[in-house]
Amino acid sequence: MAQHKVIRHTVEGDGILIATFDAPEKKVNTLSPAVFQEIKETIDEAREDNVRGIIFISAKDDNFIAGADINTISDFTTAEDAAHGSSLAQQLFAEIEHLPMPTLAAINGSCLGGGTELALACTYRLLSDNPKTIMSLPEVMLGVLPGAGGTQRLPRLIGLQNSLDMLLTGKNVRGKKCHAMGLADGIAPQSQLLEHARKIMRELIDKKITRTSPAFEKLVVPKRKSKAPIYMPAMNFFLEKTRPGTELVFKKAREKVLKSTNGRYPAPLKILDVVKTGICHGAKRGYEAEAKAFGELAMTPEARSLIHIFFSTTELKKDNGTANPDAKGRTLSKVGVLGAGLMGAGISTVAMDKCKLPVRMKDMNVEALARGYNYVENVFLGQLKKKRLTSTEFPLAMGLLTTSTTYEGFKHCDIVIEAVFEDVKLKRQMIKDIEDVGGGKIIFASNTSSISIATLAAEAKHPEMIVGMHFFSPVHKMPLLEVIKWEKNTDEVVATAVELGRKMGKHVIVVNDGVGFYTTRALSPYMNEAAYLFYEGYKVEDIDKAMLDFGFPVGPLTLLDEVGIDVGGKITKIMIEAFGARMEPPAGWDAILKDNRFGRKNKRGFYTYTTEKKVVDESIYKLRPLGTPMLAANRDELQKRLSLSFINEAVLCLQEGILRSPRDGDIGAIFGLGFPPFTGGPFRYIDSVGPQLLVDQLVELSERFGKRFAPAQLLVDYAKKNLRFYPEGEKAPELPKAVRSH
Amino acid sequence: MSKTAKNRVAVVAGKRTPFVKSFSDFKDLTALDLAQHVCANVVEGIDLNPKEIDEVIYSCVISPLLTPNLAREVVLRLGWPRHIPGWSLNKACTSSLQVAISATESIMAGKNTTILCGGVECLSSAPVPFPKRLVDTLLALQKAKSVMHKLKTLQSLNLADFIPQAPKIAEASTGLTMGEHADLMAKQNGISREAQDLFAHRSHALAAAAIKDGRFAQDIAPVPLPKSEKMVSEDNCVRLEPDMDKLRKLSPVFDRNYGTVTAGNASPLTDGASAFILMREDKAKALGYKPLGYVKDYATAAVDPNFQLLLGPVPSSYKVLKQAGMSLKDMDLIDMHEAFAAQALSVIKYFPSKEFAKEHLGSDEPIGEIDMDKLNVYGGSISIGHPFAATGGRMITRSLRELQARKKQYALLTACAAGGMGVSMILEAE
Repeated sequence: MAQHKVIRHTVEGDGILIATFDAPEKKVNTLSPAVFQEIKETIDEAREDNVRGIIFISAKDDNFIAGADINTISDFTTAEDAAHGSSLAQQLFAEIEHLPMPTLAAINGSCLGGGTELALACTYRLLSDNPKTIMSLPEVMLGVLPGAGGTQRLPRLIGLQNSLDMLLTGKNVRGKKCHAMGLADGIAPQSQLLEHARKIMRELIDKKITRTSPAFEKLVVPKRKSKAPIYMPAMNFFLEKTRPGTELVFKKAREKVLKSTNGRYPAPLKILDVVKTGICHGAKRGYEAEAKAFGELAMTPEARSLIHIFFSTTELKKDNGTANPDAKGRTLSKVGVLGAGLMGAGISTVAMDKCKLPVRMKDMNVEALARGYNYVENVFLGQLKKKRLTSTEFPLAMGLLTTSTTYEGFKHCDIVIEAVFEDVKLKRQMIKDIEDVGGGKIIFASNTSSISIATLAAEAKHPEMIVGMHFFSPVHKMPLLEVIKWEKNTDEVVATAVELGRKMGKHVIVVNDGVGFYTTRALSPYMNEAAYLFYEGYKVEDIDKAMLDFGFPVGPLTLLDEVGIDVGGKITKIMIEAFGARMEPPAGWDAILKDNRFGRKNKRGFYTYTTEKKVVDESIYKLRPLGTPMLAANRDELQKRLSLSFINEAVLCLQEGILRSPRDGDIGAIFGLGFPPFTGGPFRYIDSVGPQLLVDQLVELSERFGKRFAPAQLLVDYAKKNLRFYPEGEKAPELPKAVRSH
Repeated sequence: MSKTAKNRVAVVAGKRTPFVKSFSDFKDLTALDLAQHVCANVVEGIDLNPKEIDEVIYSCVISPLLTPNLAREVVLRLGWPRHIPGWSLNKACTSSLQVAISATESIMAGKNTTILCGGVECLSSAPVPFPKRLVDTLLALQKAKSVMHKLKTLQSLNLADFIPQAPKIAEASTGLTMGEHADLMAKQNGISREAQDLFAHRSHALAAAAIKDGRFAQDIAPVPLPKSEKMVSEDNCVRLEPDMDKLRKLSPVFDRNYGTVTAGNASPLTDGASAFILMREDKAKALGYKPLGYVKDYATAAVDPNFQLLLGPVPSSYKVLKQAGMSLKDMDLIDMHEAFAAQALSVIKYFPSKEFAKEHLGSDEPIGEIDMDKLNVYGGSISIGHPFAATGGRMITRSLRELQARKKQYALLTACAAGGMGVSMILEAE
């Protein structure tokens, strides 16, 4: 027997081979060429020894197989290589599918990507009732597709609509849902998974259960909603089993993909093609198409960037934000939140939901508290509706929240997060109050979006306890947290903020203190530039459209409406104070603020919010000086000026030491500000196009528009020395045409 | 009691929810919801770490079907340390006074040092039983095997069987409701309609004053309402501008012909909860608390329900004063639960009665005349409302704050309950 590292296998008296995945010294099992080799040897031996059945199981706590080792994908250097890798995996899984003896995947915990594809090749899939048991095919999120037969076996097992939903979103499907849609054949108690797997295997051997799972036989339809119309079964037959029906499903799916990705990501479109090939031209052509598409996708700049982001976020999880890798945060037992507005209530929600921590929320009056309480309740009611919470769990979730108009109940908080108005005096008062309440033992985290922590802590008795935790709105949805540390912080304080953020499910970047930190800094000149463009005569929708085309999820003026034009105005003031003229908005910008335009919140901004469809508020053009020309859209010009404002400021943040690494700059821009993920972030973008090109463009722009475009010295240096922000590793990929064009 | 013990039992904190008419503000809340909010608030309000709590004792008269042991549910709902046990009791309208007694005894016996106490009533979510015949039929239906059999079983029902039975708080031993008993007492004791209305008016006027000068706000823990942007922080039973003419115009509700008890001179059906923390004195001091006051003594007693149902406070007050070696004159405040004006006035009438003392207390000396300037100085259950099990907690907290504000020493608390029972308690300020 070959020496296996990952798979242990044993055969007992009943002739059933148990193949246990247990990657040494790892929390999860992954698939790699070496593991594929082990699987191959395992089934070869099974055949030789004439075992009666094979059960695949994992020895890990909450994991079956976490999919392919991502390095395997990034190691491919050509599309042919990658396609070849894919077809090898396909062959192996086809071999499993066609073994003379039945096979069973006994799945406890996460079963992702290649793990799901292995399970799909088995005769039977038995899940544990562990709530952490999920199946998914998340390859699309890395810009590729399931390359080991997943695109072919899944639609045949669970139907076209269900499988496209899984393949195109990469979402996790929980155990019960898997069972309902026929992806799993059975669910067994976690503690008796192997026992039940053996029992089912014996039945499979004795042909009491046949190869075809019940789902295979009957028409699998999306889970019936209670309000589903009566014609649903007929409709589903049409959509799943007839040619015009499937055509319609593909057409709709393609429209949806194009709408949500703006055509920016090739993977979902390829997935649609490959699934269609399998359905229209049979499995053989389907598998060929899958391998070929996998090879092509693995080489795309989009996949390279997405995989790069994946590695960056993985690396980020090991960073505690301090120079001392052993620094640990406090154990938290209670969180205080000051301010029950959108931010305060949002922060409370994630602390309760993700960290299961009791939250004490304070505001000035009961009316504000009631609104905050209601906000939190609505988030949990939403989860209840989506069945992410049961009606038993709902009141327990809400039970963690108590409210007060005084500081009663704050004394035993380990950390208090402040989310009050952006006002130095007010925030300093909060710091003083909390110092009084907690005697200097409570960590004070400020959710300031622009004021530097040093300024806030200027009068503090315990400045070492004050740290920045800059959340993004809506807190329960936005994946980024920017932690701002400064010179006086102890490692424990910083590590506590980082650990809390991570438990809240956020990507946490730690930046050094400075006005606007990183995210607000990078955004400010970008938003200002949108204002300049508006004043020069460009149309609101053209400005926004240009950045949507660049790959941002929303345009800058829409974003300003969402953030609040007044809030933007306040931040601008703080930025000008700190950085001078280059942060100044165009002359006349005041007119917009004075026109009682706050954005979405008062339904008066660049857009009107009175109609269903978002329409530009034409009256805003009257606020420009008389004689402002109406300029036609010039996408290149708009994209160049806007993106360079952003990127140049990001480099300045790195140059000044606000950012600790380009990695943090990329993660922050992508997850906090919507910078297009397929670029890999502003720094990786610079690596892709080369710093010299950007310096040239900035010089040209500063000749036309003045100093605000003066290139960052660091960028000039990098251009001169031809340096890269990510020096190690392979060459940054070329960027998609639309972005490269300028 | 307090003479022999080194450590007294301190009331370190007390809160209540707003008391609101049943089926009004709290109609979408359950007894557990109210209990949860008030308990969280009283503990957070003094920054007590929940892990310091040894036990929770809670009470509810019309106890919820699904969560009969509210005390334990509160611990689990609030995510407090799982090791805190809880138990719940029912002593009708004196429930939370009995909770205080049981907690005091546990602390005095040296078994516990910190007990979270209280009571709640949420008639809005009280279980409404189906008629017995309907329940029987439904059970039979489950057992019926054939369709015919099932149909036949159903046939035995008529429309009236589907009307749920409104909960009626009748005495099991007398068959009369509380209100009917109060009406009876008014007749037996010669309490006029006018006297009852005047007493009710006094109750409202005093409660209104306490609301206006912010005294009640000190006791109240606001309650957020589900699925709304509202938080309730005010009582809604008290008439802020009580009007004698309006009270006089109300018709009697129990005995429509000869009765004098009206909706105006009786305590209303009310939803609300109260909570308070009892702690051994040395621990309270060690944790840096300034107690609201202390439990000095208590007594419980009962009379024959067929005699006069709501006279329990007379023997229990006699007993507690005697035990404590004190006289009524030593009391600076008296907080008497006002179930009905007729009941309160009857108790007031018998406190100084020699005959009553002789016949029912076995004593030559009566308790004494109640000084009306000391009685229910912030109103009572008629005006504030009466969520059965929550009322005792309200009385404890408010009377101690009132003593503190007036710089006085002793308060006598007394309440009547179903079954002819009475509980009295003497509290002392710091």
